[in-house]
Amino acid sequence: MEGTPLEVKPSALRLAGAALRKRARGWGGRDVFPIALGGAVLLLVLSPVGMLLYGSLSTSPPGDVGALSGAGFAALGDPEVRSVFLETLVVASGATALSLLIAAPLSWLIARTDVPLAGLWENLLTLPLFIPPILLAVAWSIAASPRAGLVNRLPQVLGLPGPLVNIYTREGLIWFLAQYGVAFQVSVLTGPLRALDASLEEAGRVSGAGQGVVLRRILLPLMFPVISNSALYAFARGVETFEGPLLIGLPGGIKTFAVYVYERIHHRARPEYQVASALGIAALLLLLPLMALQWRVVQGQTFHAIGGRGYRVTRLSLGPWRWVAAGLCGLYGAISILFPALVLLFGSLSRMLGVFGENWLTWEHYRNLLRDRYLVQAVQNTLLVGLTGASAVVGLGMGVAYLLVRGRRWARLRTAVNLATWVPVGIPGVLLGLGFLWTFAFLPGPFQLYGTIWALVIADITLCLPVTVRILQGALAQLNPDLEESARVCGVGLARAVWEVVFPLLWPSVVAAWLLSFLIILREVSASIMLAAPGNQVLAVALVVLVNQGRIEEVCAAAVLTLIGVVGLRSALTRIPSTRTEPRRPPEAGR
Amino acid sequence: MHGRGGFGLRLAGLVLIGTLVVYGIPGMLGWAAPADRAGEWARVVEAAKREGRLVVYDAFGGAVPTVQYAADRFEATYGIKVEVAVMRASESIERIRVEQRAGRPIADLVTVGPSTVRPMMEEGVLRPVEFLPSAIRVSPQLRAKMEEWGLGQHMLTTLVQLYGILINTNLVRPEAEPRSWMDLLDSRWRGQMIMDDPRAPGGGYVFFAAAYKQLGRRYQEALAEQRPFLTRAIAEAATRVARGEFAAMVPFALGLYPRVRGGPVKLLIPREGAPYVHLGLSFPARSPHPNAARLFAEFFLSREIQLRLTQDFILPAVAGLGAQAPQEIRPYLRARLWDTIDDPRRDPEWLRRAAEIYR
Repeated sequence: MEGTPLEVKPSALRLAGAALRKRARGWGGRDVFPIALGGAVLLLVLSPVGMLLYGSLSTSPPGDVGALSGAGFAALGDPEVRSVFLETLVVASGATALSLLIAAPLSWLIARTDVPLAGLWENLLTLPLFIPPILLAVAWSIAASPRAGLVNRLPQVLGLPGPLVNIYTREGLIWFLAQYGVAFQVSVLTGPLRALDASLEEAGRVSGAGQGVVLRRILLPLMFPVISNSALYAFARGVETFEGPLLIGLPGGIKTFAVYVYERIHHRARPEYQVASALGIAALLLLLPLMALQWRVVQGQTFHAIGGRGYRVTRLSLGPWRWVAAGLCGLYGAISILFPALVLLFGSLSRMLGVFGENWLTWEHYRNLLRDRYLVQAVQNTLLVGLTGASAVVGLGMGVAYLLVRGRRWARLRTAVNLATWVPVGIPGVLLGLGFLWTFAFLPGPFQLYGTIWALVIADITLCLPVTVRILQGALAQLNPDLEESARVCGVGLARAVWEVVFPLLWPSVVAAWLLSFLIILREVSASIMLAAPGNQVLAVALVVLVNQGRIEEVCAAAVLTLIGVVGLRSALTRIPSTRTEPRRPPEAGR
Repeated sequence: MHGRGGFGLRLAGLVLIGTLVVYGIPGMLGWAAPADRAGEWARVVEAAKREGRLVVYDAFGGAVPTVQYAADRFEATYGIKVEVAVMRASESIERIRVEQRAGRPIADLVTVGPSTVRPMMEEGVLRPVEFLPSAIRVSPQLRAKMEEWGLGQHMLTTLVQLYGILINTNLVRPEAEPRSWMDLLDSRWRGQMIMDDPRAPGGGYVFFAAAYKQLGRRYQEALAEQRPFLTRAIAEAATRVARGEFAAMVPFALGLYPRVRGGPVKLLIPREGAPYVHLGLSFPARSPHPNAARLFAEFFLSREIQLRLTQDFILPAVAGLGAQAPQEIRPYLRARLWDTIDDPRRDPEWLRRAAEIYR
């Protein structure tokens, strides 16, 4: 069938051109920044999503001739899909609530009180971010599987009815996901909490408010952008996360959305791309209103906790209760972090994980890793992609956060950019990887990104954009714009004002954003496995290969080495800016 | 006179028949004369060396370690760099489709099974397997099966994966070991088995189809009633049996056995025999290094790599080499081949059947 060519009247073109010229006459140099930045973000995010949208509406994936069809979206009416969505909602909400309940008080203890060893607790509580989910899942299986779990052997020995703990339940899955949620939220909340001006709390106390009222009426409202951002992020991650639900949920009959989408692609005679893409788009459309609501609430309110008049950071004295507080931090750390870390160490030194016998301890897995040239190359590639990607996304994220928090013009563009920065976390990685594959392979013209390491870097920048923007947006919302405006009054340009004034004050959040991005890139599998060409393989994909080969002990060894490397990197990063942020560090400073 | 003339005629006849045999029939069948073939192959080897590089998509997900071993050995032998990208079968199908459609091919070779090669053939993204000197050494039975399925042109069978049962020796007493596939229906196995998921192409599906054909639907229904735990993470599943989380893994790909061999486990081949599946190599329609790809495929059929397969508990495709496996492995590789999947054209139907039974 031949289509009718679209007829455009010359007069219509002239009118459109005139309107554009009129609009453009009102643009100045200050519009270049939001337009360029907004355009870059929309292009990064919407390209793979656009491909998925195409895939969801076409009977054939991109590259093949297909017919327009709504059959993909019709699958939403399937009772199984509805039950999977409901289950996902319950699990993601439960994990978000639990992680917030644990992370918020622990972050407050670490950042705002004189709890002993605060630095140690902060490092410890954020450690799960460094552990690949597949390993944490294996660790919990070893400990709490109903049949052979270490803690469940006790009732078996005593002849009591068991199991004592069963990780393969909905509650087990919520706990598993909450561990990552806590780690993420502690790493996001402590920086801004630490940066809060103590005089605000003191003003509350002087007015006769108790600690509870100060917390409820002053601290929580000031922290709202950060808390709501991180909670939403944790919720979206709970919806799209894959490994935990696969290894912990599925054995207990709990099937979540990402696992279901994965099955529609990988567990069918022919991958059902149309249905899978439609489910991904539907999930995104369900999440976006939540994100838009949060944006509406945050917009138009001020959360400035750091102003230009100088400020003080004090830590609340807990008296003897500080040891109880330290005990709480230690207890949570021991259960959720030390235990899996020890399992990893133990696994890396075991000849076969979970099997004991003569000569069961060995160093051979470390030796094997260091001899594996494929793995060594993967580590080099990962460092290149991780360092480049994390640095680029923090730079981009800083610009986006500034546009969103400080921007006064281009309201629609800012709303669109804000929503766009949520998109990568709203779609399961397995689908986004597919979207990137289609985008890069079918990129028109001379652009040859498919098969290069830069395709990975660009995909990783997109995937890390949500977390980076959320962290920096929340932190920036706390800074009073008077700070950089004062600098500009003194004749300093915007870029220099941001670099000299805003950047040092945001440094803890910048470090957190960079580290989290680096860790996401380090662990990211879905996009990498679709985009990595031979020679460009990254560590996460190499680990998947080891897992597929059943070399779980070598994966443990790789995780231990990664853990040591990232902890070292983190401590190095936090030391660098101490002189730049010196006024905010001591308990009493800055006035 | 009559006698001499008769001899001359007979001689002429023999020469004619000989000529036909040597040149005519192979010509009709598309075979070239050995000398021509040798010359052609020498040109392929030279061209492969000039190409200097090769990209293999390993769609076995790393579960057949021999692929990487062959890549390393090939590089050492010919000086041609081999890059192996490991992925899932479904990912390899989509990547090759996209590369071919976009005109940006990267893969020169892809490892496949019958269920993987069929959709790629239907998409038209593969080219027929060209002449390889060693292809003739592949077991005739295996080649016949591929021809029967209509895959002979597009898939070179290089190995055969066998399936048995893995048990935990701490949990299963010797007298309780399953000797037959039927033994798994005993109530003692209820909730004790971990199973490669039969609802997706893979080992579980091979076992499902084989046992269904041999023992009937009722067998699979009874097995499903034993409530096996279904998984696709087969290597991890084997370690879960070793750790004692499950008493048995069904079916168990023999290629995984070297990974768990040191643990309290035992590999069993039931008396009916081992389900099996052909695995091999296919050539994307357009590829940057087509000659290197052919040379690698030939190298995979070499005695060195085929014997190496036996060390990984995998049956070589080249006839007769299974018997040369290491002594302790030989009994497993000489197990009776029980059955395999049905025609891959009917995969969707079989998988639907599996999904009906294993919910």
